[in-house]
Amino acid sequence: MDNEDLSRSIIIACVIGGILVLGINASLRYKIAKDEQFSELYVRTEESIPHAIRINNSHNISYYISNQKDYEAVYVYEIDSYISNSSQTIRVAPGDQVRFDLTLTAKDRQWDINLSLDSLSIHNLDVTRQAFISEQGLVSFVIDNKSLGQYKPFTFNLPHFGGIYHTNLSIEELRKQPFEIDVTNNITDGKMKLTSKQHVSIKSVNGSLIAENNHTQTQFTTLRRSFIVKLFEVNASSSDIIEVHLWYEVTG
Amino acid sequence: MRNNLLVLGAILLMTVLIRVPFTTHEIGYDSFRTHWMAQSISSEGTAKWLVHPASHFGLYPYSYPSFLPYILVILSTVLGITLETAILVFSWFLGFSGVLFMFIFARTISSRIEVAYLSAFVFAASPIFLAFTVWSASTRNLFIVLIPLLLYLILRFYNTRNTIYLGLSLLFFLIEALTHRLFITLILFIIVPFILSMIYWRFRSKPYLQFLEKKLMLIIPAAFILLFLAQFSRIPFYCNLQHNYLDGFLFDAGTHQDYLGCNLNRTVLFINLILDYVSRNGLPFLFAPLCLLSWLILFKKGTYRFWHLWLVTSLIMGTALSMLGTYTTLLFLPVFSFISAQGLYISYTLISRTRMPVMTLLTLFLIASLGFTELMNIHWLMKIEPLSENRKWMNAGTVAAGEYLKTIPEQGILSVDRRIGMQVRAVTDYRVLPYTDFLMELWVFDHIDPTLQSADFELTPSMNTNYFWALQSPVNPKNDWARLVQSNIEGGDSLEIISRYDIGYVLANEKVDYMPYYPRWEFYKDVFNSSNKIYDNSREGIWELSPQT
Repeated sequence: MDNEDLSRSIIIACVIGGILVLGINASLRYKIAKDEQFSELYVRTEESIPHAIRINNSHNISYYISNQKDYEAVYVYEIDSYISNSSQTIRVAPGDQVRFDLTLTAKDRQWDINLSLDSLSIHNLDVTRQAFISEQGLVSFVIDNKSLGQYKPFTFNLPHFGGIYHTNLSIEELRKQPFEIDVTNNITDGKMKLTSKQHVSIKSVNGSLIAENNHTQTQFTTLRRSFIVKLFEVNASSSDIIEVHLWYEVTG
Repeated sequence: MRNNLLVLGAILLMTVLIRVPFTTHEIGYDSFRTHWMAQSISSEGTAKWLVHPASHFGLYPYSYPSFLPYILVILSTVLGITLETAILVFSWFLGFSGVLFMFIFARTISSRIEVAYLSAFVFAASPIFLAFTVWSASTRNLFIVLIPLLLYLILRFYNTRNTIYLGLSLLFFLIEALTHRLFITLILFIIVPFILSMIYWRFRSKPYLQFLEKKLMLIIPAAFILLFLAQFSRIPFYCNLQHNYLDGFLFDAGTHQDYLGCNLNRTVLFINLILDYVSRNGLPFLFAPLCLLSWLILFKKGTYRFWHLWLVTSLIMGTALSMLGTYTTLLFLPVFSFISAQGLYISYTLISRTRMPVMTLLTLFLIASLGFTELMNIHWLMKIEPLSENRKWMNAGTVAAGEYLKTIPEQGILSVDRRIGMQVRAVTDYRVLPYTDFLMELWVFDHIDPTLQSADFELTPSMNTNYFWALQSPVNPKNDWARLVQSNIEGGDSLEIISRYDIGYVLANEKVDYMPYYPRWEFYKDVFNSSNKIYDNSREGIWELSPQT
């Protein structure tokens, strides 16, 4: 054996060993590249993202899907939001990017109930004991919003009613047709809305005079709502769902 | 001559083949940092952390030697390629250069060209050299490659006294100093032994050194053994270093408590150390003792040459720090490669006197050593880390997230995973919190507050191996990050911190369930629940922070 053999050994080892390692690396790379394939879903921030939408105004927003896989992918994008719920299928070639535009239109303020109060009071009135003759002009509460000053009515002071004046109605008349009135008030202030509904009735039942007050107060508020676009691949081996979700608020 | 070129050509071909990466992107945290530095130089036109002459050598606080990032920027600009491609091209170039430099160094000290071939082979195919030169911009790769060249130039200067070699030695030493802080170890373990050996060599024939000369055969192994065994002692310095070999591939030397009490199992420590050196240097390292034995015979006969003395002195000094593992191997890789190759050659000549098929055996052994190197490379890269998937190389999804960020207005990024943060930073050059230990040293020059200048900070000595001085700064991004993530999105100091670092986006990997590990990270929970998620690729998600704050 001479040193020519040694040189030959090195050459053979370098070529065979090098090719062997290259083969292992190539197969590993193939596997890693497969594992690392992905899809992208995104919006561009330089385009306007709808942080606030006015009622009946439309806001256009573009979404981008990028297919970083080595095959044509069939995607489904689903919209999950208060404004709309729908889904679409879209095909994207490998390495390609597609854009789809969505329009957000808010039809209403999309109030959410924050607080609700209900109260009901029923009073059985004894005219001889509880009623008294009122003095003209000392009116503390007016149910029907009419001026009652020219009479000297008899009055009941009742919780939830205040002073009730019976002016031009006799008990007999109430028996035939109860006195009923509905009062509704709406107050809106920025992100809050207050609704008040009151139903008041005075009726004569079996000789008794019954006053009934049903009052409902509801407080509404506007919440930030999410507009979610989900993307997944049809017939994909992995169950990955990617999503972009934006938060918006409807303004008046 | 033709045969010589053929052998060298085959080794060069092998270095290219084994350096074809199996990952889809660059590898290693060091590489991400260098990439970011190059990216920053490219976009800023200067290295903003070089604010003091000592910064060039990484010896000023929060600086880092920047020769390699500059080289990468030049390569990228001249060739019109991306920085990542420049890193790949440069890794191949380093593989090539390593072979050539090792060959000329080995050829200078060995009379046998076969030993030089084997040295080049062993060096090029050593697992540690491969790990640093496969699509990686770790500054350690350039540092390693230049060591055999530096050894060659110093030796040539010694042999010829030609000042050109002295000039070139100084030039390449300067490049080493501008490449990695390890240049200090070059002084300790290469230059000092060279000077000591030169002095001894000059006066060895003097009567007062004759005693020593005759006892070299005993003194050298005694020094080796003594310094080697000292590392297994209870000397506090070594007790500290023993942590490097607490857990090995096969055995554990004890618990952390055992380590704290300096009670680790010495036998296991020894086995772990040997296995580590073989796994980093490659299978031929097993033949190194044979070479050292042959050198001892030369010392006994008194027929040794200057370079024997130099390398042995250097190795003896290095033995005292063999527990450092990676760094010692890096520094001595050319010497280890040479002694491994010579040991292999001695075995080859011994076996060739028998009837055994020596050529087949050698061929198989060399192929096996390449296989072993590949195995180690895969093992080191594919190790699964507890908090993340394979993060040792950039994942294609992470790169895509970085590319997306580059398309939207530049703002600071808050990353849930600091390793992903580093990678995205390399792609974007955007500021990323948290600053990792790597980036901590550079953060100060990256800070948005123009009033914070390096001169404002108090300079204090530091025992941190990354720098010798530490700046005591009024702003600490690591603490700020910790305060931020434990606050609610609009509570505590979060708004102030977000504003200070100009954080606009949050980057998170949704495949990793962070919450069991970090249940107090209220800030991220808030972001996930209430911020606009503007990007998703199933691996990385990006949330827009600004509208909330």
